[in-house]
Amino acid sequence: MRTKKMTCLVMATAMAASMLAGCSSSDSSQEQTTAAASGEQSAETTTAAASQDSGEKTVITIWSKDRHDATYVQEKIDEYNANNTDNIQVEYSLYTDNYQQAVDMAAQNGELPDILVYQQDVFAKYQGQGQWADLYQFMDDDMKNYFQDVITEGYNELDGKLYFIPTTGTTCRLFYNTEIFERVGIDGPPETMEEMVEDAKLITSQLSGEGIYGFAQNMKSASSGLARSMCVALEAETGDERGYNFAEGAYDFTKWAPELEMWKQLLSEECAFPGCESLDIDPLRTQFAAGKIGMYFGYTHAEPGVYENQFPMDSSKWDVAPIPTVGGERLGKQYYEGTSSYLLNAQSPNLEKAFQVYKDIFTTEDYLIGYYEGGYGVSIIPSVLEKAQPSENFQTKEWLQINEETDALLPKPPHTAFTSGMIVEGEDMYQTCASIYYGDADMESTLQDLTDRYNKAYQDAIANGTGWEIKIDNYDPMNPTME
Amino acid sequence: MKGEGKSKVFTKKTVKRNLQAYSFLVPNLILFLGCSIYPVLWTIKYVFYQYGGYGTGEPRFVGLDNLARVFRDEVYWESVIHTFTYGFGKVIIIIPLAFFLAFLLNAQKKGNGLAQSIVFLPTIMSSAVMGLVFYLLFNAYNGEVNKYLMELGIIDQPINWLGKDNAMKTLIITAVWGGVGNYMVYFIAGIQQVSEDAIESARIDGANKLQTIWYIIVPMLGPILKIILMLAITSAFHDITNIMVLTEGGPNNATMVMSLYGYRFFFPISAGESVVPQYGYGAAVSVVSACITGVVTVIYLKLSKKLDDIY
Amino acid sequence: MSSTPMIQANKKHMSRNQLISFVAKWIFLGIMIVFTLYPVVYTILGSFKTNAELTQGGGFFPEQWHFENYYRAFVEADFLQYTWNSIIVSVSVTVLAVVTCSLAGFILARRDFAGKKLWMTLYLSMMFVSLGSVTLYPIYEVLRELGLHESVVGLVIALTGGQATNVFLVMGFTKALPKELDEAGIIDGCSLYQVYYKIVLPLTKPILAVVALFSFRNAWNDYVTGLVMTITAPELKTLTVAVVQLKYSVNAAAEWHIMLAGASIAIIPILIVYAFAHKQFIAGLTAGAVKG
Repeated sequence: MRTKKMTCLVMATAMAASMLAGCSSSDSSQEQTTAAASGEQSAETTTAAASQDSGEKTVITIWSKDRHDATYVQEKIDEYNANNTDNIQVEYSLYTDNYQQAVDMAAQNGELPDILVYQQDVFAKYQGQGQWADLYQFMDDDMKNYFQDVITEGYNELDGKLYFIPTTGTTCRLFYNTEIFERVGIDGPPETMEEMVEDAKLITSQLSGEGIYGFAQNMKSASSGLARSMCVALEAETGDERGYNFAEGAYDFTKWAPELEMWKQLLSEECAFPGCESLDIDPLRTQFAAGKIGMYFGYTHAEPGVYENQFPMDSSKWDVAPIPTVGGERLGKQYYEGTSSYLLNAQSPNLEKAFQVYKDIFTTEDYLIGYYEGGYGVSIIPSVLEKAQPSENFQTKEWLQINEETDALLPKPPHTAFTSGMIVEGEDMYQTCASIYYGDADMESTLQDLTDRYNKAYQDAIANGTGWEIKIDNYDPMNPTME
Repeated sequence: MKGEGKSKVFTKKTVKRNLQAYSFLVPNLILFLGCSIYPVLWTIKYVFYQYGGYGTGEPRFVGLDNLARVFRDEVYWESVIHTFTYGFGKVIIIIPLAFFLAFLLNAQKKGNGLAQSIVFLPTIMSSAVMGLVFYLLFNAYNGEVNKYLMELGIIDQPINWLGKDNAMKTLIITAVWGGVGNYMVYFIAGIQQVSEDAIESARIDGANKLQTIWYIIVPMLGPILKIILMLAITSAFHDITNIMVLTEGGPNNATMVMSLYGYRFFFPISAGESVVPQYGYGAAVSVVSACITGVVTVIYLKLSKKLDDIY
Repeated sequence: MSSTPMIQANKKHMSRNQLISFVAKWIFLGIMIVFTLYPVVYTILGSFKTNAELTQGGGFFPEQWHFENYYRAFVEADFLQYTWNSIIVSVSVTVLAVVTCSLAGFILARRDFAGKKLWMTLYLSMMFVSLGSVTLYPIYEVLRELGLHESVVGLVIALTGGQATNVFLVMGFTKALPKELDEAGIIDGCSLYQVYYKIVLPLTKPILAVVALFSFRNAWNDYVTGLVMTITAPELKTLTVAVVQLKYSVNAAAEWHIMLAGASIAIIPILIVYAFAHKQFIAGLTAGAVKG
């Protein structure tokens, strides 16, 4: 008798457990769960089921990491879902925090979406495994012509295959508050780092009583803060990309010393907004919009939209200038990056339909113009630039545009070309800089040590076969070539 | 029950008895093997491999390289020092405070129960969510804490609570907030075991309150104090969530502790984190960290035994 | 030590010294209580304020009570989904922990069987060896192999974990029960299952309540496990994970009121549980500490 009760209890628990499995929230994941439980690739099962049953829609999934344009993209997708006649349902998910991690895990599980936003590391990591589809195989001549200006060999075209199409571009600039500059009597944006430090000191000394400071940067994460500021200045200043000299095929961080000296001052109490060490970019933007910050470095694709939609700030109160360098030195170009690119999963069972979706949503002129006009990114497509009526910001602030004189696509240094193949012992370059400007690490020896560690890791990677030699003979940093 | 005297292992009865016993143990055993034993074995195995996760090639056997790297990794050893700073900072504030609170609140009197419940309250709350709230309270540009201090005229410039010089102190304050109720309850349990008679006879002998505490209660609390201290130290060494949310180990690694340092080779601590996943090295860091915690525990036990002998 | 009889006799007319120490005690306690409650009260009151009040300074209480903050958190930030996830997950973890620990604790306390020594040693050692959160990676791997990595079941399993400490708690408690009870049961013809279910289980209720309370609290408050396990399945995020991620979300910097509404949604349920069960929480902690 009792044993029976016991069995019942066990049964009940088991049932409860299986019910839980069933109610794993929304419909899509439910399919995924059952598919995964039966040991098959979920994408295959879902779509197989979908295509068998003619009444059901084909689901095309899109993953993004970009928050700044999410509303616009979602709107366009909703429109597409409502209007398309191919019986396609597009599902759009945003992985803001852990995009790379999510892609890694999904790739491992064979659960990558059909379309995903391009991200450098994600692309590089899986490109060799044939994970990404060649877009040329589906593109007609019209489309090829339309995008010919943004196709660069060695960048998005590799061995005659096209993997992604950037439609907007971004680079880094100095953003400054014109009102504050006027108040303390500074004529224009600084052209050298020395001037910048002076300006920041002036603003902080005169206006800190009102809670206004000369300079701020989101230094909570050193990599996030420096990648949009000092590292870009150094590209122009030294002609090296993140410390890597393509002509010599070696890292040299000792050239960073003069710039770091300036940063030490910029981040000192004499210049900086209090609490920069623990500041994220969004709180920084709110403070800039509130008129509390004189200058900071940011991305051209993100900031205009932020001050139009997210944290409203009058367009006349801020402006954009090129990133100053130490002594105004310019030996090389600074990088710009193509954005709004999408990768197609070559292993998707609905690859052709996925391409159709990609083409119909993300590459129409209507979409591209709306994107640029909405302030989500600076277009790099000539015909869009011609036709679009972008917001006032882009018409009056010339340095929001990609500028051929100063900006270029740059080749990838070893640590980004084979990220996980090159293991640098100790702290990376960003954290090491932090130990100089926030800690009391000795400049010269620390930078020398950093140089040695990166070069050793690079050589080890070549020796282990986890990396390869990257050297470009006669590399001219003013006219960079990709290979 | 005949079989029991002579251990005939394979008689039908013992088999049945064992099967019966395992039918009780198995549900937990599955969880235990899957979530406790296997992960530990996995981690120990990967100490000897280099592996960057899926899509980066097969794990590569590297022998003792990872361990050797741990020992020359200065940042790691700094994080060990931070762990000690954090752990002892927390314990040194929390234990006397908890003891004092316990002393004030242990009597069954009106108001004491409510006060106990309030002081205990933070221990039931999520340290992650509260880490977020503390970030809002302590941030330098418009945090409440600075606002109040300035309104009260205690400071005239905002204090950079999460800056490199103060982040550890701020972290310890929030950790004390979250933990003091816990240890207070332990102490109350301990004090209630000290017999009333001993306290009373001390009183009759003319001891004042402080003397009573020092000469009667503290020595009699000895054994439980030992346990409480050990719990406090080891648990402080394992704290990770509050640090992860409030300071993310920064600025400039000022609050990077061992547990977080190992974690960041597996998972990014925050968005924008740039560390390349290195499961082998992360495993080595974690194993060495576990050993350090173990050694501290053993030393502590030895020391406290010695102290016992002296008394 | 005002509870000693001697003092109580004098209680009617407190001496000056006693008055001073009484006042000093409550001033100190007052400070402690403010220190303890302030962050909680700030969170809850803040969740009704406007963003401007929060970021640009305002009174202690909201000028107006903005209940729509909660509407926005629940509907626009999807907190309805996350709350549901948290409830399902925490309740399941609690049930799973109580059932498995009760069974295992009972058998380890009452029976000798092949391999018991080995298991006991392993359980005990796992109470002391802690590799921290890095073990989530292999756990995730196991769940992936089983196809459970994107389901509630997987999350529940990862959150329940090995339970070594709780098994020991239940075992210790069961051992303290007189063995004669079981023997009497067996003489009456009960099977082992009946002994467990009919005799021991009811008597171990107090310790099982402790296990339940603390399992629930841990599951509800967990952050790291939930974070790692839901990276590829954002729709499974629990409240805590969702709240902390608000910090990085689109408008987080500008929307402290929504952040605080989210935080309140995460802490209010556990506060309610605490309001009803604070005595059990405190007593349970003591039981755990003394035995463990």
